[in-house]
Amino acid sequence: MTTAPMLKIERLEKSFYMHDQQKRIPSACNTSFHVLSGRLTALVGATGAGKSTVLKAIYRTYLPCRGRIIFRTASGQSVDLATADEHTILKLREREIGFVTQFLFALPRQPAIDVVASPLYKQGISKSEGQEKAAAILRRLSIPENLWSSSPTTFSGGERQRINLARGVIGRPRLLLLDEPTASLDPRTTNDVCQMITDLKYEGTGILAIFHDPGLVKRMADDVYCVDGQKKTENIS
Amino acid sequence: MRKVLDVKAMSKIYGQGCPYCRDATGPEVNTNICRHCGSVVAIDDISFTLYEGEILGVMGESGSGKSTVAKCLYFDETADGGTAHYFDNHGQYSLFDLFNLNAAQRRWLRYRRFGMVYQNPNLGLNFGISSGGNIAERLLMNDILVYADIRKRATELLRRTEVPMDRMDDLPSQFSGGMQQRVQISKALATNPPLLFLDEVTTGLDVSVQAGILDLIIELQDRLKTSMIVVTHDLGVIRLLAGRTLVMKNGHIVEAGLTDQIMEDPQHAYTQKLVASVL
Repeated sequence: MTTAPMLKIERLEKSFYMHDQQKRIPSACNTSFHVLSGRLTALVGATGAGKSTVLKAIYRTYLPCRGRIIFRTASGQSVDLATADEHTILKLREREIGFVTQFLFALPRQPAIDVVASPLYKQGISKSEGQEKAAAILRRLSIPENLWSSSPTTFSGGERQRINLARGVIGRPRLLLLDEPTASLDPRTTNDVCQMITDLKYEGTGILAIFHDPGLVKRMADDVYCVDGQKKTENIS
Repeated sequence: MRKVLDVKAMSKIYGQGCPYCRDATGPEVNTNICRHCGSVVAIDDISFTLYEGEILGVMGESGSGKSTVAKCLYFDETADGGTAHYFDNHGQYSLFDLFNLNAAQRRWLRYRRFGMVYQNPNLGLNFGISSGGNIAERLLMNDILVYADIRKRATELLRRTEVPMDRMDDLPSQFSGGMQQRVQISKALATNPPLLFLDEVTTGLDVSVQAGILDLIIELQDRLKTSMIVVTHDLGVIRLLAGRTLVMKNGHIVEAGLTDQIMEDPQHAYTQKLVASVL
């Protein structure tokens, strides 16, 4: 395992300008840290400090205002995710960078097993093979088999979260971004999820995670970074 | 990642046009109509690229010019300015270059390389012949001349779009709106076009029908890797289908980017307003 960071965040800054109110709302500010392959970095900080913002900025759901996000790709190239062109980002999202958000977004009417397998279908893997792999993860996360053909939109919060997680990890991304992966889970399933995340880590995945529970941070994190966001909003008149 | 379409500074004006048209219209002045000469600047300065296998969303409200973008590229309308290059295995075509691309060549591209599904099935289907016949028509234009082959292909397409086989010989007027759209999609896909335009294809349909058609489009893109331009005012459809999106207002692109970024971190004032308005 190489020691060069898989992900280098350098002085990342993100704020939001609301045109209708002519107000700029600051979020993450002067954020710098590394993520290494085979290690889990936990982002901690008060609610609203900008932890999810950092994850979204890496995934390019948010456009960073300042700073660099240097990602070392599978082929060894360094890409600044903050300024890379859209096609590059889409390709990286397909193969190398996974993001498990807090909320599940799924096609209506799609059975859970296909929701989980969809990243594999996009890679051209057959339906039968995709479903087989999805089934393995669903079993591991204790999703009852009789639910696999139902749409996750009918599931409970905890079940949806596990579907989201399954979908996020099935493609074995090199960099995994996790936003509160155990927030709605009971202790037993939390344990199963943690075990799965640890296994991924040992396979070499670089993981950046937000855990709401300080106990989980202690248990899971190899490195911890504290996000310190500003609280004031600025009026630009 | 191969480029399929490269559009630069495309424009279309209805009316005689004048030197002041450009400045008198656009999102900053909130109008498409030039107050000096009365011409309608439907689209101006439209530039974008489309790569193989990707779905590009073109989003905007009524009058934004989004349909005009598709119509000019599909040759339903003639662009007044700009260039558009289409690339595939066989070569590179300059779509608006009337000196290098004659009417026959444009027709060839339209029937062999492009497909279009309209909001109004009347535009995409021939209501005088059966649905199977509509598909056959397109196959015939592509030199698939053996009756058995045509019938087989039509059957396969209608099956994929969940149109009952025993309705193949019925007229489109005997179908519901949703089924007419499915027949239109079958027809457009009959020749596996590398580039497909979808213009408001689910607008006005019942939600369950819409869901089915969207599922179908996604499945087709996964399987066939068709490049698509999806024109719609519906943010939900854009979110489901498009990896990248253009936001249009008064004939111009006001913002372009990854779809999730446009939805969650819109930069332009109009995009922010649009995204905030969704129920």
